[in-house]
Amino acid sequence: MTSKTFKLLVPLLFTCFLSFAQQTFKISGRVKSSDGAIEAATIHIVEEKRNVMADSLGYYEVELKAGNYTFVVSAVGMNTLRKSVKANKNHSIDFAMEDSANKLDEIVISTARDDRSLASPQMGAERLTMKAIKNIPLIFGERDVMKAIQLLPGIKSAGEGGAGIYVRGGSADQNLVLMDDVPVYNAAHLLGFFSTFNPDAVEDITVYKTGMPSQYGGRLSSVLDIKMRQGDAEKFSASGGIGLISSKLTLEGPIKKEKSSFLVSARRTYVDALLKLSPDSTINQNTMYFYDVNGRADFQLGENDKLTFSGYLGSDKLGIAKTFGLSWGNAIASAQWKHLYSSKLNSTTTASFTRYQNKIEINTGIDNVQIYSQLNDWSLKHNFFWQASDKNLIKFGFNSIYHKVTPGEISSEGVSSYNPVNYQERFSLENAVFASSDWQATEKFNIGFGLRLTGFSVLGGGDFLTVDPQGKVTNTTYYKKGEFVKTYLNLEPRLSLSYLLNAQSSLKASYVRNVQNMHMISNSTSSRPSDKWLPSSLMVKPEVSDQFAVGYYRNLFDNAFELNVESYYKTMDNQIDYRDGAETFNSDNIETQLLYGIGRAYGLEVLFKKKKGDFTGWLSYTLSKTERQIDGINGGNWYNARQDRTHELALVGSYQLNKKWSLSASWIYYTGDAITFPTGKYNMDGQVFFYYTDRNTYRMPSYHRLDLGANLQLKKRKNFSSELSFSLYNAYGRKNAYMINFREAENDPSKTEVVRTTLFQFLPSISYNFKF
Amino acid sequence: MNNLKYILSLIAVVFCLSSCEDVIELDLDTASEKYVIEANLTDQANGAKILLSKTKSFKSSNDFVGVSGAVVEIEDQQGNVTRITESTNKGIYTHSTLKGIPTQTYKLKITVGAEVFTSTCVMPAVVPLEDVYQYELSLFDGPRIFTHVKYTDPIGVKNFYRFIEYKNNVYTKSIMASTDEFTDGKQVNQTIFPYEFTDETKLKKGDKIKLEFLTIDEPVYKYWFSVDNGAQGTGDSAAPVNPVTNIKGGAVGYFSAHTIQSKEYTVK
Repeated sequence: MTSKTFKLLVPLLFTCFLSFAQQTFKISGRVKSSDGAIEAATIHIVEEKRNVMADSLGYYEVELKAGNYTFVVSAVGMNTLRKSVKANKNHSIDFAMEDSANKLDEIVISTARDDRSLASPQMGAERLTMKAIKNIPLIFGERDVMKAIQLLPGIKSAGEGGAGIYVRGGSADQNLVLMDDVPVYNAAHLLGFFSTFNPDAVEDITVYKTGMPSQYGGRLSSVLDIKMRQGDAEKFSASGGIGLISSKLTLEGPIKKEKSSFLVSARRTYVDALLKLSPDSTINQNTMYFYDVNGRADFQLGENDKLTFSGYLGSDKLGIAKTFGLSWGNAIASAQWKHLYSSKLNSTTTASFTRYQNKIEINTGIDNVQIYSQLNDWSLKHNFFWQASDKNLIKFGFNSIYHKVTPGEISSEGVSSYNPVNYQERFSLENAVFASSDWQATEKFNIGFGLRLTGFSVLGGGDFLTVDPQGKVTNTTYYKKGEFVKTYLNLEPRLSLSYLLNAQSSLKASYVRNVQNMHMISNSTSSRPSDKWLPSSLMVKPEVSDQFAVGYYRNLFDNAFELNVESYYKTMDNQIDYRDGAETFNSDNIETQLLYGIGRAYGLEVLFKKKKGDFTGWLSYTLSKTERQIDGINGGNWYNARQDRTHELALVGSYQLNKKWSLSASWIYYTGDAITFPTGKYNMDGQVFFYYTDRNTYRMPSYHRLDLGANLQLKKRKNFSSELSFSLYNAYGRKNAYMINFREAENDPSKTEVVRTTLFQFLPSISYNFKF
Repeated sequence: MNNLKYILSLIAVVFCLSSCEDVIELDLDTASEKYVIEANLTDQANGAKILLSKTKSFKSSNDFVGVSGAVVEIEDQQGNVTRITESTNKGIYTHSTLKGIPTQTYKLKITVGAEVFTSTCVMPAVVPLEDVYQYELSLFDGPRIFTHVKYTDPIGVKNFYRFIEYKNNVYTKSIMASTDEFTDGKQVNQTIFPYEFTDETKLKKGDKIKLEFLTIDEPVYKYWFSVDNGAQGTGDSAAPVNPVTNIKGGAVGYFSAHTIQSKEYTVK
């Protein structure tokens, strides 16, 4: 750390010690559930209009003036507790919370914790629990978190049925996807139709669209913080599900009762098993499946320490007969240690490893070739969480990641047309230090500010290119292994403010800068294993975004309804795209195929929720604009990004019919993607070629779809419960365009016709879930 | 990696088995007209042929409408200029005896009205075509016969190729170009993929196949390679663009000086 940054950080760390001279008492204790500690419980002290957060082990501490208070304890998926507390001496009070699993009268979306408390300066955050996702119709029989969040404002689906997302004008690789604090590089299975997150192993997901707390960094547009479930430390149980496309099984239980637990969850799709049923030998030889396995073990070591090990392994396999094979997947392992220094200071240390790789095999009998690429990250993260005073929460820490990218290796066996190729491996070191403070400045005014300093060092060995704007190599320099080629330093300030207008409403504003040094470049519309991850280099500069946002938040009718309105303006620098006609396979000179430019995005987002009663749900609306400007594309003029959709609307409702049946429905509508259609045609090569002028000036047809779902709770027996879930995707069979192509008309070759490809009309699914 | 490109598009197709296609109406604008140049010079007699036309609206007929009255000239490395004259077919300019010599550079100049278009192209050395044969591969639509082309790539130099397949004297419209980036110095067995994977494009017993084997220079390779970015109206490129032209002056198209060899076989 340079002395300059140290000087910047020190005042931050030591801001705002407020001392009180009054007679105060210390109330402390622990928030627990039957499963053990509750991570992230919030205690609201009604009389003080103040929130106290329990730490990740459930401990809390608060100093109060003598008097009588009401504590309202809430946590995701738990029934809210109210308790009178007398502050007349220092004492300890524990709260035992009950699971709200079978109570659907409260959809818990972002209400717990301070993600959306009126007073918290945090904005642009949404939190969804698996229990809430239960009230949304299934897609392909899966409760996919990545699809559920697409129903929230500002988060756009990357395509029909896809798990990829665009957040506030960012591209698909600009989302930091964390699985228990470890980045996941490819969060999609089967070309994006499924996400890598097995719903049975997920506890909840928090999405930050802006105002990312400064412990997060590395991607431009969002943070998706996905927490995996802890195993039950009280008793063994098994749960699972059987669906049309996939089945899954989860086992969990104590290793040592109340002290440690494990959870193992596995999922496999069997699309290929269905293919095998086909009598057609041309179809039944194809393979297409994916699997994933999640494992987690938690150890409570005394009062003050907790160790968590978690792992993930997932892979996709696609094969066409015996001729072509394609497989890709992620492997993730992490160890996390939480330590409580005192009730006011605790730390989390995470060591992790993540790998993403893909492999292509071609086996024609004439040529036997393998193409292989891999990305490895080793990371260490150390975060402190310090309740400096009742009104000031300070977080600080560091994060170091060593990246190793193996962009491509071609190997062949036996006689082959291909030479073996090894593209240069790329090494880099990404370091960050951060500090932040959430400070309740006055009763109505809250400030959150943070700083994150990132240093990205490009390391040798290998050749590094300098490329001129025409894509010609002007210089090649060789660096030895481990040598520092270039270090990019970036300071990322984060500021957020909130002002309580009254007990029901507040105003917030924020500014956030994000920096991204691992870039994915892609020129196809679907998520593909061939998409390339590139670290920053001499030519590829860090991407930087600046976002300003303001918001208005209001609770209505005794908190039965909630209204959030947010507006943002975001600029993005050093955005990367391919040159026209780029050849993307050769990684050694990939920089000659790239162009760089800027982007901007702005919009208005409205979220209106009904949170109480038999009928719950929400309406989300987004009005937005997203553009790019890159010299060498579209004549250097601004153009609409592909994901620029002017209007986007989602209506989600669920209704608890009776104790057995619950029904749900969602309807979405959005303006079609910006797209380039031909503005003419010509004869060439004995066929018709299409002529293109400006980029993305056309629109795909507007998209809308209704999904229906129903859950049937089957008869409960002692220790055994099960339910059936039904869903119908695209219930009125709207022919939404997945792709639009142009060709000679089949019945009149002198004419040209437009062909629309539609996926998934009326896609029903059924799944059976059990737990014992 | 030509093969790779095909495999990926195949897989996208496999997954979309449940998809359906229908013809829709779209209202498309028409950009201002541009000249279209398709200029070829080969190492064979009758190989110099230049087609000149214009871009047209999406709704107009697909028939070729040539542009007459252009002055078309090809200049060789020694500075000899040959005028290519318009044939009886409007907009098609030919020369019956002009042949290119491999390794020589050629310049094309087209003057039409007030506009001048120029281009330069190197005719690469000949690489002997060794064999053209049928070979069965199992892909997702079952076993299928593919034409394969065998040649030995010269080691240590950059080479670019194009393959043109005719089935029963009809061009199959499958645009295949390759580079030796991964096959330098190897004996190559190149699979010729069909334009689309339908029953009609399957090669059947008795089909007469003719395969033309071209050596082309890098800018021409780049042109054919980038045809994949939407020029044929298909594919899932995120941003379709026109193929990268080697013609200066604002025209669409290419100028290719190439060597050509061909072989025929009958599918058994």
